Amino acid sequence: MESVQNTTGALTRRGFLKTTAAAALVAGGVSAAGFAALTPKTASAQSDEKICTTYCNACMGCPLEAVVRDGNVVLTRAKEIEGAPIDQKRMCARGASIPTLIVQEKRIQYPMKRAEGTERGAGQWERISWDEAIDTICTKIKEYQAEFGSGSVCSFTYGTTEPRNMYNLNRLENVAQFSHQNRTTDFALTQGTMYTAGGFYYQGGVDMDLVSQMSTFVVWGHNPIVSWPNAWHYIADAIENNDCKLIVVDPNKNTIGQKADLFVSLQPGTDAALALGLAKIIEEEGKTDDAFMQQKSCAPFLVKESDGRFLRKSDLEEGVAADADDFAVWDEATNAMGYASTAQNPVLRKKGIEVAGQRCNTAYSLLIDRISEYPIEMVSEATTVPEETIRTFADLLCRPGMADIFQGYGIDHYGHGFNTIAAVSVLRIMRGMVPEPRMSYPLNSSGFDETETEHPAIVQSLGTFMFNDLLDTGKYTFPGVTAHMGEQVMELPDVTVEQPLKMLISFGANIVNSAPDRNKTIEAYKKFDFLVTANIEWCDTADISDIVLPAATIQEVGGPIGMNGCLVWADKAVEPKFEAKSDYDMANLIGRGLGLDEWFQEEFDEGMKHVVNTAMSAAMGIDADKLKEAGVMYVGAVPMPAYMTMTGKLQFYQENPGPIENYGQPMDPASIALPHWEPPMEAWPVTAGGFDANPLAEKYPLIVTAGTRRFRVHSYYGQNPLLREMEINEPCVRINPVDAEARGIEDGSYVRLFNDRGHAVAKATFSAGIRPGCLDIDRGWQRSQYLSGCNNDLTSKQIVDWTCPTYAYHDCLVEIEPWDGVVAESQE
Amino acid sequence: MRYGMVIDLKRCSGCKTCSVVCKVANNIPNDIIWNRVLTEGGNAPDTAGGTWDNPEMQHWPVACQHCENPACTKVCPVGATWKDEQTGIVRQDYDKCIGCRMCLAACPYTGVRSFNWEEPAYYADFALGDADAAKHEKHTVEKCIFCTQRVARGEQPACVADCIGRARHFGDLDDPNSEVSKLLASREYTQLHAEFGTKPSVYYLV
Amino acid sequence: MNDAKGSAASHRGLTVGIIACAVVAVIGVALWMVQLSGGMIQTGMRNLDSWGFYITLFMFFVGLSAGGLIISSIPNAFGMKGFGDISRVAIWTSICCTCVAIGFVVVDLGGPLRLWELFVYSNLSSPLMWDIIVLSTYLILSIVYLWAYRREDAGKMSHTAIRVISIIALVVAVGVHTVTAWIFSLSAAHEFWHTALMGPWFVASALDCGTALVLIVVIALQKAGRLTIERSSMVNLAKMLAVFTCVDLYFFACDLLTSGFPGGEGANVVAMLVTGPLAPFFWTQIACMVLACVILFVPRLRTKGGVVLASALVIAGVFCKRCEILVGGFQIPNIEFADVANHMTITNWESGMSLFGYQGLVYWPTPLEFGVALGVVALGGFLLLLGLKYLPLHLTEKTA
Repeated sequence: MESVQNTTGALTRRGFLKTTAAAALVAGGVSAAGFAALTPKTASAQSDEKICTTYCNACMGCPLEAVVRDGNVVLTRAKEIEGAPIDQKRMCARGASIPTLIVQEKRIQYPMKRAEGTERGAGQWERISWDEAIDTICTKIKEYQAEFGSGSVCSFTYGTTEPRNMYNLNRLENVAQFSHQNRTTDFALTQGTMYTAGGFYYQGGVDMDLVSQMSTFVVWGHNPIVSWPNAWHYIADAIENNDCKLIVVDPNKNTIGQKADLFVSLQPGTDAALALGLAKIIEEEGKTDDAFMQQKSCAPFLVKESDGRFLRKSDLEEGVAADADDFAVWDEATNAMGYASTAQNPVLRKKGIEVAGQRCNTAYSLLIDRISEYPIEMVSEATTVPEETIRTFADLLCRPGMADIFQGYGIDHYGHGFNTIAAVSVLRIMRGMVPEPRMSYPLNSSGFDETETEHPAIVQSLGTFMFNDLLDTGKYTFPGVTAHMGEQVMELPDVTVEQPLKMLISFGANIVNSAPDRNKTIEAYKKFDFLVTANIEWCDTADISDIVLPAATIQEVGGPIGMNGCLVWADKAVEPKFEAKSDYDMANLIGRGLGLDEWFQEEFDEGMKHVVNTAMSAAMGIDADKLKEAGVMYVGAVPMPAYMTMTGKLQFYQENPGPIENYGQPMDPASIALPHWEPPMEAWPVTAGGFDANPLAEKYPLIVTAGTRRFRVHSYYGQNPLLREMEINEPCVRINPVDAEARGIEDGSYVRLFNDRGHAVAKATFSAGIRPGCLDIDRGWQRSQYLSGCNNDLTSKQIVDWTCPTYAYHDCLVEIEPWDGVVAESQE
Repeated sequence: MRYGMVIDLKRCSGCKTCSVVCKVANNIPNDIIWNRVLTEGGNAPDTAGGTWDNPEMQHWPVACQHCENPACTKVCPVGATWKDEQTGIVRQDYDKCIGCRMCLAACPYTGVRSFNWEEPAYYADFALGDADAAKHEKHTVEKCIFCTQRVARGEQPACVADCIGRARHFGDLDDPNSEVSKLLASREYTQLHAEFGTKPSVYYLV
Repeated sequence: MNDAKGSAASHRGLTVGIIACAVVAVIGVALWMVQLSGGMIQTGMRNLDSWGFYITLFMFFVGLSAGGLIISSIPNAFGMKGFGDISRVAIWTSICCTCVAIGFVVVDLGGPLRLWELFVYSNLSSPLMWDIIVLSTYLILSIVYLWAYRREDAGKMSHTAIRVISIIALVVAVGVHTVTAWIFSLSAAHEFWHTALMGPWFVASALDCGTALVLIVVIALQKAGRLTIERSSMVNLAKMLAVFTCVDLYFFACDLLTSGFPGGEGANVVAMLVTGPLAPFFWTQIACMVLACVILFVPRLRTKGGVVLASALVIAGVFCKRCEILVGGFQIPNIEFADVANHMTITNWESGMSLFGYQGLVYWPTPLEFGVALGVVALGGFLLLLGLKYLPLHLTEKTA
């Protein structure tokens, strides 16, 4: 038994000799040959430890186990997920760092108020009691709402921990009728994938059963190795076991690009041109999956020339019930009009069809017209991708076997993001790539279960881009547009939203850091009369607030989450540190303080049951008690009867698209009816593809994007010291050595990026993988971690496409220069 | 038996989850990293070398190589770093180390050994990780121990258990039927600085 | 009268020197306590430059120590005409230098309280263990050697016995240098260190700087009127010093050529020395040694002052070489892939972003290290002066 030796402080080899007998007893049945034969994937608890189910709320809600000793989380590890058809075990460095995240120095420990007589952001704080904090907040809310209307109090309810826990925050916002601060971020991908394919694919852990089977997999416009690290091993499985060809489309060749069989670098913001150009090649070479398009997409639908809408059964017949409506197609089998649900052989490529006095074209023929505007020569010029590479790309897309395209937020972060997502979706539809309709199991986060819908829940949605105007004048005016509906043309006038703003309550996120044009955000926030921020950690948003509330982490609260095929009910692993409270409890306290007691009766565990107990759960035989008992349940992607689009079919054509984030803006639906390409508003330094270069590029010739980084999610986790050890200890900007040397910049030296909006000082790190003319700056460092400026001081709040308003973080021009260490302008 | 590790470089994405779980599981003091993920390419992590025509980047997870012929154990004057012949693991006795740092000078694998240059400091005021993880001591040398405490319980080292890319494999190199032996039999591999004759027990599939 | 006065002054000088050294040594010990309690993080040493000033000085003083012994033993061992009465002084100098060398190992240790383990858990495959054994043997032998001279003076020991001891001492002295060299050269991990020439080279360096030290001490004692020595002995010693220095340079040249000629890693070592971060040390060493040889070989320059200057230059040159060897060994990492640095991995880590991409010198000592080192050297000075004052080293005593 001498083999079981353990080098610890208590039991060393030397010490061991004296304790052989005891060790032999402890070691029981351990094999005599070396250590015990390895039993992989098991992890035991020491006797004084308990193991709790928890999850990481950084991005994908990865189910974890927390090892708790003496009331502290001492270790987190990926939880084995029983019943999953594929290996769903997952945890990245962020999840692994939770033990120190909980106790990090930067945690907000107690309710604090800005010290009397000090400026906002001066960093002087006084500790107050929860009673005083809630009392002050509720008094202010009542005062402002009485004088300026209920919407003068605005709330940000994304949640301090995780979106699914915003249940009670939403309820508070709705019941108290606060106006709603919209984050205006990431909506192009959300709206683009929803409208075209009925939802996201391949984000995080979802649909990964499919990825392992791919023969061709395209990662377009993002780096899942960094942003959804757990997705990588499924891609690696496909490459290793299935000889999958990995294609990566990105301006910069980063970690995922290094793994690619074909890496396609393109001029930033030309993705839609490339996608539509590829579509043209595939159509011309006859490699489209026509049967798939006939059955599963809107391709054969007849589109009326008069108003651009699909021709429906209800247009042609009286008394068609809404659920019995159908789409008109031209059936080649009968050489007559038929309906999508019954036609034998609906034609895809046919124009000028006369039906019941309406002149119609198939949706696909409209698409062919559109893609004909993207010949390979033009696409190659606009994107800078060689024609040969474009053809190779097209060939790989048409490889036998399963193929799909994994779209990400990189191509979302442009004003025309929706168009790009939709253009890439065209390829998925033409090649029959989109899997059968399925959906990652959702949980209800609306704040109301079905029995409560009688309460008015509609509140005014506001974007931070509106704040400056609203705070200055109480008004925000959306520009009028000329809207096109087929042959109809309508002039839509300006729309003015009137909303005085006095108070902002932010639960979670860190909008001051993460919204573009940070100087403008701060300018706006400073104009609020009163700012309340609840957060786990001190951050840019908390720093400029009047009252700061300490929020609890998932491990201190527990509760349900449903993400990526798994349902988790996290245990309350440890007591909240210091005086931290859950979002749920904070909403209860404020709700009750406002006299809305009837809506805030339930405590956390009861309230959270409503989140799980939805109609869909009932249909699947799942309820809160069962989930709580199980800890983690694998439900997989739920098969759906139809795609969750407007028509139930895959749609490259949008007949009447509205925004998913509605501020009341007028818009031209035709602008996104069929995907098209327009260059970025600002970051267009070249004359190509029929568009003139932006003259601003003479002053600011470089395009800067803020890529995601491994050890933070936006700013969250970015102050966790354990993770900080893993990266260079200050903000960095990656630059191609060619661009650096032209400006006298040395590797590892400080540089200043600047444009008319602001500047950021960062450390230059050379990477040959950065496309010349581009820069890749870190994302998510707090202002206090910068020597001067901040990456979002450079970006713009400009909204380009009002049918899908989203922040264009990547549409940003700058110049870069060596930094001499002098702070160029006073920092707030 | 000889425990060894096989790391598939094609599957390593440089995520450093192994570095973090290693630090937590072994309650490693601040600013000491046993298990690094190095970037072959530029001068900073996750940057590419070469030129824009052909940027090159490869991540290399590097920790103690648990050599069959270790340079460190030979030079330690008191046997505080020693090779466990039963398992092939190169181990460290913190309470024996006199802090002469002969092993740091002798080890050809730059950076895998660390000295506690000060009283070990921690971000938490309680011990993280395994209850039976070794207690760290000021002015002693430490390094990866293949999570001896876990392996003794029949578990995998932390870095293997939680590798996102499923790039790490651990097992008995002497057993031809072990997963690691089979991988080495079926795949092309390389070793770090094999020219030093240290016979590392860590193999890299290329 | 004048002599008596001078001697009294030199006596007073010795006493002042002893007190001064004692004070500095005590301060050094205090600083060492600071180092131990606050941690060696206060030194410039880090994981990737894990030895520093102390080990440099350890090498340097081992070299100084054996040089003296070899000089005094060679005439005895080979039955040559000796260098007069300098043998005893040389041996005492050796003992002091050995003590200083051992002192530097001790202050470099993280756990000096665990020194006893060296004797209980001795790992005989460790070159450090070998060095500890030969150093102890050497120290004991030197003391015996000195004691034997004392016995001889008392007429209780034959010159043959002295001769036997001197032969053994010679072997051990050469052994000390060689083994110290092996601490470095047996490590395949550092290209610069891993050369069979390291042993002979250390012996050569010991001979030149040891001789230089003996020359300085002898001339100083002569000037103080405490020692008389024939001019011819002096000249012989000076010529020997020149020859040893040339041999030292010759070895270096051989090694650099062998390293650099094939290209590859070795060429990086040559580049590091000749044009890289260690160039200031390298060129200072070459300049010192060449200049010293010129002074020593040209009879016109071989005045007392010239010899002292040349000796000092040789010692400075050898010191530079010790720095080159130590820092140079750590300067070139075996694995150059990038990672983040922190305050445990390299000195001045904030100036470089990457773990292995450090620019400039990888190591530079902190004031604390200078302080502790000064203390250790002062301890040696204290012993040396104490010996000169109280031990029968056959110094001329006119006022006694």
